[in-house]
Amino acid sequence: MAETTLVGGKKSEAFVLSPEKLRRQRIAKFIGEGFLLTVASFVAIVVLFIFYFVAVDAIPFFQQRGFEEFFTSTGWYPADDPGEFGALAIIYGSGMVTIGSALIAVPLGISAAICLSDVLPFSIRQYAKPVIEMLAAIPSVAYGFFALVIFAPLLQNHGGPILMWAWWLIAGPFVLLAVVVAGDLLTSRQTDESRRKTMRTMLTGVLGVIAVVFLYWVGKTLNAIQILSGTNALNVSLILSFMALPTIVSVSEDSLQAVGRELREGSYALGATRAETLVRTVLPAASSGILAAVILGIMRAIGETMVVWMASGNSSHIPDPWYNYLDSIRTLTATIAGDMGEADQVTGSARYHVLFAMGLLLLVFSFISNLVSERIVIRQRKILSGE
Amino acid sequence: MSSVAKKPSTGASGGSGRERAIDIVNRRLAKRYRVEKRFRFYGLCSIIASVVFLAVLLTSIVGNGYTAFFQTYIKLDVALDATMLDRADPGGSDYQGIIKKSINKLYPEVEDRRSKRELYALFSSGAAFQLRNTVMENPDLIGTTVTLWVPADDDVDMLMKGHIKRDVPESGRRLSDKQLGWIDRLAVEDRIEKRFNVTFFTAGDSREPELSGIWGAVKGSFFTLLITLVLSFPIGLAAAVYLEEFAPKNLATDFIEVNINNLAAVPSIVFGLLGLAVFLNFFGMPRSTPLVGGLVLTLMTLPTIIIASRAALKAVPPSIREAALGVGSSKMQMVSSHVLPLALPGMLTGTIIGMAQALGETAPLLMIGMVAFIVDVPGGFTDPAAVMPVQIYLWADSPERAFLERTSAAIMVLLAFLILMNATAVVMRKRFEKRW
Repeated sequence: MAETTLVGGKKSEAFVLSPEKLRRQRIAKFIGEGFLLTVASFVAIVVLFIFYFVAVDAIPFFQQRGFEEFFTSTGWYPADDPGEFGALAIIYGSGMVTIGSALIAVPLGISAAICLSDVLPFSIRQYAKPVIEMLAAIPSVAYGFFALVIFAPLLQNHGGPILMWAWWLIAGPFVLLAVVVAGDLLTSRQTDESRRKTMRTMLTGVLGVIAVVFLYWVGKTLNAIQILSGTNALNVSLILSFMALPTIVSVSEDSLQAVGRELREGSYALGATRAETLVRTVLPAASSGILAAVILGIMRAIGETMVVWMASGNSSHIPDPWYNYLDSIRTLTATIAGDMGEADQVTGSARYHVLFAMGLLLLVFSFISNLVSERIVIRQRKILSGE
Repeated sequence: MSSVAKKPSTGASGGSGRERAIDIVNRRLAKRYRVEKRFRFYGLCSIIASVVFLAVLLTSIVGNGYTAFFQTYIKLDVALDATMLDRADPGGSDYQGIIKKSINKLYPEVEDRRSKRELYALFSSGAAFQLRNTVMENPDLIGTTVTLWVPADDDVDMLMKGHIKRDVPESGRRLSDKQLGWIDRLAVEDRIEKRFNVTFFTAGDSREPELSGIWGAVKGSFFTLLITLVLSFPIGLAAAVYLEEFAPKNLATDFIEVNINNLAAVPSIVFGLLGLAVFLNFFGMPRSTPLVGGLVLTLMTLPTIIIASRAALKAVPPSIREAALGVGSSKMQMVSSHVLPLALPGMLTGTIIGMAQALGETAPLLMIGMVAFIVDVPGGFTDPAAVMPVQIYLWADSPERAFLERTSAAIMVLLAFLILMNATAVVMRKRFEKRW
């Protein structure tokens, strides 16, 4: 260390740590960082720990009963002696409510996200966003209570009219729009302008009448439906879709925001309207992020317990016909929550372990979808940043 | 828009018999604007749908629940007969008998046993406890007559609130015609009135709706959240600091990051399975206690806290770090005295949101036995306890109409806590948000 005299007459050595101090600082650093690393890896290890403990309790079930019954039989009589442990209907029920809620939540969520990120003026957006976020803050048991005590009786007593009005309100505009578009498309070959117009008017009129009759007929059919039990797959799907909505909205909004300004402005500069810019430029660029949002939303629906346990009817059978959303179903999460109370009395029996097998199934599924969605988001980020 | 590109070329020459190009463009433009409007309308519809859903949800809960904050009480003149009460040991007397006697005095004409039983059913079994407490507090009352407002039975309460209809035939009603007559007489004599329901906020759970309250559940939730906070905040903070400030970019770090996201994706019920298998069956911890509940919820809230804390740390600009290092502080000093204090508000915000999440969680707690019926208000971390969402679940399962309104009321209280926490988080974020 070269000794130079500094301004204040001090030697620069005063600023250099003595070997003793240096060693102490190094030890402190080592301990500090080691501690932080331990804590951080503890969090990671927890995941393995969960996986290990659930698997350890799930494996005895498969050892005792094999895979075939669990995945192919619909007979679920865990309390009998000997019990039957066919989970097919339960897995099917989980799939059914998940698909049902995705059908509602995905279009709703994506259009809400687009609206929030690009369409609404800031003054409205400021209030709309907290409202949607509030849907996430409401505890699941409150949703369950609503589904069970308020929505289920409503569905049971006025199910037909509710379905009819829902059909008219949702399908009506779409069908009429489709009629207009179809009329346009079918006459687009005609080159003569005036003939094209008359043809289009006629075609649209005929199609419109057919469409209205169709709408009315389906509505009447729905109106005649008697819903035997309000606690069914439809009820649960609807409630779950609103629970999944905030996730879908916030993740897709993030990915819409991640699409740079230059893409939007380029599109505007070429003369596109806002709708055209969004549909043809921004959405394709953000599509992978939106896909990730959908996966996350679906996971929220699969993993939800309280609503399905309280309001799905909990009857373990595949609805008849298979697409009948007005039938009661049972899901994996609800089975775990509902059966554990009794199964826990007989720790070590197949009845106890089968619930862990279901937990393992849920766990594996959530890991896979999480990894997939993460991959997608990372890929999108890379593409957008131009790497 | 392939059709857009084609159209203008057909009319470009602009002859007098044919349409001019500008008209075609204008028409096309009008159509595109219509599409634009329609598009905006769809977006608005979806937002309105969620707003409407939220409004329906909240109004139906409030509409069902606000009546639970009031409870019907009946005025009863109780003669504290010195022969029935032992001045030396007032706790051991037959207060139920004294109450029954006062009721009989109110309705001297009721004599046969069955009618008497129906009459007693109008009064809550809590009346005797109330009398006992009154006497224990002030033994000098013995020998005098006191006027007490005792809680009415839940059926009477429901009748007063209009949930039991009088025009239903007697067999389909929970109150008989005779009982209705007695209640009407009470009303005429001004002996019955609705008052603020203090019991709801001070009592634990009970089989009798009029005696049940949420205080036990609130305390249980408090203890559970305390454990969660004490564990998850430091762990989450340390993990976030390590990952943001110290972690080298290598496979191990990637592994940790992936697993934190995985932890966030685990369905909540699986945490319950873990709690059951590990904490209860493996370590043999006591069932349905805030201790185990807190441990399970800690695992659940960790990812939320870590992700939020990392975002807060990321928001601290590198210039601060470089300045600290530049004046000679070690990395540890840089983090602890410069980066952390600046990132702390953001971290606290994340923690509050995580706690709100934990407060509303039900499913994993069902698995560790927190569904048990617990009357006593818990006094510590290892007392069996219910938490608020579980209490709501239990009440939602009860058949009595009176529990329905209590369920809604409990949801209102829980929502109030949750909204308070979330609002605090939002305000904190706004207040401490720095633009660098």
